[in-house]
Amino acid sequence: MKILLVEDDAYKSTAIKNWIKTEYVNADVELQVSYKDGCLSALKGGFDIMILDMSLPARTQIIGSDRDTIVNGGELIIREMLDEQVPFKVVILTQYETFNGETIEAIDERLREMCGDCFYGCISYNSQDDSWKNLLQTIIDDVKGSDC
Amino acid sequence: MDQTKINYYLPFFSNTRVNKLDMMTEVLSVLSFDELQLFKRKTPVLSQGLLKIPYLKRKSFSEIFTKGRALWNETKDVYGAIAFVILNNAQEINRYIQLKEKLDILTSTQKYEEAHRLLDQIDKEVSVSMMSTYYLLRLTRLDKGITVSTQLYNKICQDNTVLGYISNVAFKSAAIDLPFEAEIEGQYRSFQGQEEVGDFFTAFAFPFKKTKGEKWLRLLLYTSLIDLFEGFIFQLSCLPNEKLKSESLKKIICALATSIQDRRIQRLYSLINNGKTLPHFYDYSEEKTLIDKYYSQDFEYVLSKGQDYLKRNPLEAIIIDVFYKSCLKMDQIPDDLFPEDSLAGRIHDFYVLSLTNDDISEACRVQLRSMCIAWFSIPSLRQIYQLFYDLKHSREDSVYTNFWRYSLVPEIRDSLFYNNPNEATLYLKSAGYSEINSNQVHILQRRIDDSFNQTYRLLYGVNDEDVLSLSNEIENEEHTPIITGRIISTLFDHMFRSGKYADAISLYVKCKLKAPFTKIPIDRKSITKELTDVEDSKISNQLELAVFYTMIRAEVYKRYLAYKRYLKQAGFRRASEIDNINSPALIYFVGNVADRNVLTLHILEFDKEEDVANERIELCKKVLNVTNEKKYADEITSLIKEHEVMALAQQVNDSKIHVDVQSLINSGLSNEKILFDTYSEIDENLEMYEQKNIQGILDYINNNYEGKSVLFAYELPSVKYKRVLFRQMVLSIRDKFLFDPIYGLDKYLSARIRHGTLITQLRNHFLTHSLVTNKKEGGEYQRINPWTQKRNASLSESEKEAINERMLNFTIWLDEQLKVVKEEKIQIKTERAEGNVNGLFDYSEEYMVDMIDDLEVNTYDSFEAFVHSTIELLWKWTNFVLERIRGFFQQYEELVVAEMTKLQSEVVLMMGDSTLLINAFKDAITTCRTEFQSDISVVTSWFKPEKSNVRFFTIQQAVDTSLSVINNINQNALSFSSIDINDNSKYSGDYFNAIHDIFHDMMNNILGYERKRMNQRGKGIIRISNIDDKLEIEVSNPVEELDVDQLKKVIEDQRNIPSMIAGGKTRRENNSGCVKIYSTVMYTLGIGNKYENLLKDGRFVAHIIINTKKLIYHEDSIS
Repeated sequence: MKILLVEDDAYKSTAIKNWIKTEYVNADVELQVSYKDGCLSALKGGFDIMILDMSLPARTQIIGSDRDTIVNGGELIIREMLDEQVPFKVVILTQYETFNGETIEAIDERLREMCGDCFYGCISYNSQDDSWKNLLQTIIDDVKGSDC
Repeated sequence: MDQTKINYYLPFFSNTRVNKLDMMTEVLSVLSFDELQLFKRKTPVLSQGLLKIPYLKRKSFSEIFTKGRALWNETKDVYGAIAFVILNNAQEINRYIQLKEKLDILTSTQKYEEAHRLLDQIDKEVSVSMMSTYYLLRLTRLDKGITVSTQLYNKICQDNTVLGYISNVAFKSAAIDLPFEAEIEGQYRSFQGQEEVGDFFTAFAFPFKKTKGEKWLRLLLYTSLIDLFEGFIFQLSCLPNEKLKSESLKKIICALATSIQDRRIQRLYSLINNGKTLPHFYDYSEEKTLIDKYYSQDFEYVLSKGQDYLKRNPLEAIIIDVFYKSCLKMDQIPDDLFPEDSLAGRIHDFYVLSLTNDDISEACRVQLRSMCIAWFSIPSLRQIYQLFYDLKHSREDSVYTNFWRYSLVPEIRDSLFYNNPNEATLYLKSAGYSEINSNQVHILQRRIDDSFNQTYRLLYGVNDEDVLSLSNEIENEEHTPIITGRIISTLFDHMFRSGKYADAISLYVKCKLKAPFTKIPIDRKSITKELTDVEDSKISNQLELAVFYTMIRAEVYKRYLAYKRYLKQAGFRRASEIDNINSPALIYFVGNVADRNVLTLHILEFDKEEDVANERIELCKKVLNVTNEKKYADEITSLIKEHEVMALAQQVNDSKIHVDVQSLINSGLSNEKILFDTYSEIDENLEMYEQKNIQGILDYINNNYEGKSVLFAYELPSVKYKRVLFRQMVLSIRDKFLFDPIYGLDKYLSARIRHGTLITQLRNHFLTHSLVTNKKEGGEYQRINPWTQKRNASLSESEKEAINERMLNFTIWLDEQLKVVKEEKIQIKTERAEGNVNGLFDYSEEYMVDMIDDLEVNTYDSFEAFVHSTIELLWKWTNFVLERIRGFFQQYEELVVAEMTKLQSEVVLMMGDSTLLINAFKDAITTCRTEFQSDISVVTSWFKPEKSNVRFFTIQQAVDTSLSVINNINQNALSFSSIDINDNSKYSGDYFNAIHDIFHDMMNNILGYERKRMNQRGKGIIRISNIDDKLEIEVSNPVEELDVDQLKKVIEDQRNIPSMIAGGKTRRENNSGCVKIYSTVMYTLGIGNKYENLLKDGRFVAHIIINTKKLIYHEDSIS
């Protein structure tokens, strides 16, 4: 199973990767840490599911350089894929509750409308609460099942 | 009319036992306006003075609201009663109006001294009032600054405690640069449910709001003659037009208009009488001509005559409006009519900007509104405020529905006072406007309704059959810009609702390309919502779509997708490949659509940020060639400058770890040379006991004193003397490498990392997100955390206290950690350096000894060869140390992140069920954590070996870089009122860091002072010139009187700098950076330079002279 994880927070990406490796031993997780690299990987396609963070640095940050954040970077990757008509399955996994004043629930609804069945929802990530794992597991199992 | 009642009261005038004030209050409360008029006619001449309510002529501010009577609760005709008092004081009120008009002009044109005199005159000739007192407060703030106005405010509060609240609002709103609306909204809401008092506060504290009722008018008898008049006028401006047309009010307004020379009353009179004016009052012919000419599109006339008019009447809102719109139409903005920082100057500037530049117009409008709020007592500013307020808030009606309410000049848009177009036309004709314009307004008038519930609609939705004719009218330019914009807006709306997206977009884009300044109001939000990405992709003309999204400032991604689709359609990979940009749409595409934001998203084409900038430069060049527009040349310059500053800022980052090795060697290593000579000559076999080994032996003996000694079995360890000497030589050079006060590592660690950089870099985002607070002047932390003061924080007092306590603990914890990092960890440790036991720059002999001994294996032909090898070893060790330090910061990051997680979970629990607050707090922690991680990577990057890529630089670049570096970590907090650099020399890159260090430290000191004395912000000045190879730098900032003694002492102490440096006591200078500046100027940059600090004309001045001969860059020299 091939998973694309686009996440710039090293703590979060480590936690997600470790959890995936424990639960899905054969999973192959590709990690990208910026909008640009995430987008390039996503456009190449071939992933069973993409797990995207929402807020992402535009490009892989060069140590010491200024950070150029795209607040809705995850959403933009999805829109780029839709525009390029690349098939995908995606879930957003974020620590934020709101983006530019829009709640995560509203974003969830909007992206469902935009992407239809390709979008598996927005999940709130919390390092102290494991409920994201259950939600993500349900989605990955669903994706796995649909491939079988 | 109740004659009996009138006759009942008259005899009381001659009754000496009756309190006349009470009697007059009763008369005013029980009689109607007509009855009061008759009552006056019957009142004996000798008693007529009482009808003026004499106490309203206040002698001091303390009398207001503390002396007087209110009208009765159930006053029969409250408008009539107040108007009656006004009419009885017509002479005084007219004098006030006359003086006030002059006062407004003087104030707005910065003639403050005369304005002060006039205010005083109003107080003396008419009455002391809230109006004049608060006017004085605001004038003082403008004229003399915050300190003096604060003193005045305190006095006002002492004089009249009853009015404390209103005084406070007046004081706050006097700061014309601070947006005040949000705070006012909150306070205004707090008066809900207290109609009478609430309305009174509205009238005198928030007059840009509306009153809810009229009962509050009875309280006006507590105020002063002037406040009573202004309060009454204000109430009239709040009334619906139907009420104003009622017979009773009509009569009152007519009576007032006959006696009171106030333009607002005259205007109302004219409106309720279908344009009729009273002959003996204000002559509007000049204004009317200008307005008429504007609507007839004779912009040239408006331009030529308007300027002269505005010089005489700087704040006449309607003329400002038509004048600057005409200027834009003619593409001729005149030079400043008024001093730049005068009220009039600022109003005019912001007005033009708010009309012209879409990108900054909202910011300008906020500033305009803030100024209008502060100076709401100037009638024209009321009108400007209302216009912008309605532009933003009108929903159901036209934006000009309220136009008549504040307009001082009869104007075409006033016709919206009438519901009936015939009445409107009659009004316009009577007001002197020509037939054709009346008809135009008539068309607008007919189409007021707004079924789409949009802000700006003036027109009805059009029918299909209207579309063609209206489109033709637009095509033939048959309408003025304002009307054109409204018509296109309606057509757009119609087409859009019919699903003809491409046609609507095409119409909009074509019109805007033809006349860029035309305002076409559209509902941006719903348009971008309805146009999904899928709908977008169906539009065949992606060029127009991209242009459209850019024009309406849609989100970047929508622009980007259209941009990308167009390039794909046209067969280009990037916009710079478009060869022939010959159409307005293509010019707009290249010039405006493909901006940096869009290019940044085009990641498949532009790998690095630098590639984005280069592409943008190419695009600007293309458009510049075609249009010759200066803004593209400016953008190219700015991009190049930004690139240079970025490269230099990177250089600053890469040069934190530095030792000026060559200067160190050049300065002479005489002791080491003596050691080396001895070392070279000494016999290799000579041995000695090292001190520590002898001590070991003694210990051994002591331990075995009890007779069990096996001394004979202990072999005394000894070392060869040559080796001991070698170690001494290396360690001696090491100490100079580390601690030389002029060239050593510690100097640079202090100047480039510890001084004002490290802590700011690692703390600033915590402060931005209010996760920590700063210390107050007394040294204690600000206890109340902003999170407990948020509007959505519905927290109990105990919850607030618990959160404040927890946040304070976090602040203390974080600052303690930062203190440890700065004062303990980023320090140099050796076996000889006392006190730095936790220093991470650990150069202790015991760790280095093996490497030193390895070095000794080599033979050295010369002292220079030995020094070279030693320095190499020291850098090698430094690199090892730096690696450890980078590791330390990773640990530090983990420590802080863990503490933030803990803080989040604890505070969220304390926040109870305030969901909005909790979400906002969690998001703040998440953002801060990401930014902090980014900061850690920045700091980690400092601890790398020095890299130098700068071949040459100019002083301007050094100043820009220092400012950019400081502002990057201080949220752009530092600015200068003037930076004047008269030197274009190219200097060798070797000196860039030294020059940057000087400016960085000076700027850091100014920033520190400005943080302490907020009202001195942005007043620093930099002056640099180069005459005869002498670079003269003067950096100064104003200082307050109370700091002068302390600064004198600092300057006095700095006389000892040379001896402090010589004695290596550079840490005693209280972090001012002056020792480092001195050392850099006098030693690093060469002998013969000069550096001094002085106090001159109320400013702290750092004065530097540098001989630039050796600094100059030569093309043929190897840097």
